[in-house]
Amino acid sequence: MALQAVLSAFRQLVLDGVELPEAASERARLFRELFPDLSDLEVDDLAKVSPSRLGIYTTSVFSAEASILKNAFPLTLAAIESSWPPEWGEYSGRALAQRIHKVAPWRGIHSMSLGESLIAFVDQELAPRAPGCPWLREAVTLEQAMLEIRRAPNEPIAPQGEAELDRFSALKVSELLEQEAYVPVLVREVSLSWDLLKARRALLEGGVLLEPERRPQLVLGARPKEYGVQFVALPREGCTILIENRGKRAVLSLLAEAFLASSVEQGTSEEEVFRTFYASLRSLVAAGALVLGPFDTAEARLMNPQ
Amino acid sequence: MDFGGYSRDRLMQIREHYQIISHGVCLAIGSTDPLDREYLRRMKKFCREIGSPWTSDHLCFTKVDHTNMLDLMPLPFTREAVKHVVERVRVVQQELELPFLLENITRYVTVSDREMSEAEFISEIVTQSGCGLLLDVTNVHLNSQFHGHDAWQFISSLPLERVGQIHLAGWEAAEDGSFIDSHDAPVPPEVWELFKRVITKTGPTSVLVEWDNLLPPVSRLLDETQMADRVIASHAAQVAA
Repeated sequence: MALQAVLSAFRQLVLDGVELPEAASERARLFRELFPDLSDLEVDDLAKVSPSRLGIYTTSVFSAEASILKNAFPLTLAAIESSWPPEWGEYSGRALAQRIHKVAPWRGIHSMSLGESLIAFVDQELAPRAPGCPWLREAVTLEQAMLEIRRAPNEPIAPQGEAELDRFSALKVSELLEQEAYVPVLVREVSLSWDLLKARRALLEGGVLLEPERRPQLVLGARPKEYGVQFVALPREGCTILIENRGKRAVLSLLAEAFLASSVEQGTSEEEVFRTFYASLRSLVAAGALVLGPFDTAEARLMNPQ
Repeated sequence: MDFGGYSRDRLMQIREHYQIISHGVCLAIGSTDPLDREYLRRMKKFCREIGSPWTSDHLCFTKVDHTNMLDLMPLPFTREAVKHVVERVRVVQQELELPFLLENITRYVTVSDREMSEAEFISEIVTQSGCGLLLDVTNVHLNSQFHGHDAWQFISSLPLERVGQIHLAGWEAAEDGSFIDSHDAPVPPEVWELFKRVITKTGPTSVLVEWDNLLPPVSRLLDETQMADRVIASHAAQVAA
């Protein structure tokens, strides 16, 4: 119990922004109020700790968190900086990390769980104060999905490259539709109302945050053979069928039917539908969102049963 | 360690040519939160995949109250903390089925040294739990600067027969003259001197030069590892003579 109380008090002193008096005796008085579970000796020990030395940990923790966020959520952070309420003082990565900590402390050990804290902060604290940035919530969802895809465990079947794709161009339509395909577990669906993929690219390449264009679309993200994250825009039915079949084998005709269902409503010809389907298929395979068979017995054993 | 993609594929390629040894920062051996059994399970699987002959982590706490502290936080040097850590190390060793080493950390503060010194704290834990000691010579040096004790005296009072690996690193002082254990510079002469003395006590052992920020060209990194090799070879030659 005593050890728990000491570690918990130390955590609060490092992370919770407690203002510490310079005199050790004053600190001891404050700690008696703040930490009633500590014994007098434990209070005296903690009171001996210099506030400036303690501050090294505070700086280290929040600077490291800020650095993780900047790497994984560049678009979100640029949007947050542009929407930072003036009453919160000057924006900095550290100030952001400290505010996130107050709303949703980092519970896990992976950057994905820090992303969950960032999402909670956006929802609870910033979004209500940032009406001028309606795409902020989508940005953080998109970048969290990218992080999950980038870090996801390797799949039993590796993604295919351009050269492997050519193998399928020689097949007849009926042969192609009979092909088996595997949908990796790491595939994520993201619904976007703005063209955030373009805005993110522009930010990373030019360092400038451009107001994204309004462009509603559903995208599927996956990890291609060359790593990174690639997105493919798909009709809702196509997205649904792929998401439902994550981690499974399915025949391509299932996906084709979904395309057909979505296109019939739009009154498109069958030939046009197939052309679109084939182009999407190539994009999905190139993005790593679909791996085409045939699979050998060992590969099939690694995948979930149908 | 359970991530996939680029880093994992490259790691497995490296494994084909070199021995890889696992070293962690997230075990939180000193935390009063329950030991993360799922983390241990994944660690065991990962060590098997890379063929790590042992694994190690830091004698500290990195989370408490289910909150990630991200940094290596110092424990109070108390009998209660010794008992607590020893019990957890035994569980870790049992679960991992691998030799396990604990590393002495850089610490900017002393939470409590009323009951024992840091050297006594480390020695008690290592001896009672039967784990190995990962001796970070740079951390000892930095702590001697922060807390005003003699680095060699500190090292001499540790159970050096239990050292399974040694870490060395450098740091850049900030503009205000302060410094932290930043792993972003060459190992300084005073740390090399300590290392030479340590090797006379431990004998040749595994050594890691840590440089994980502001990385220099590979040739510069190799200079550092070759320096470590020369120190060990020189000691071996003296022993043989």
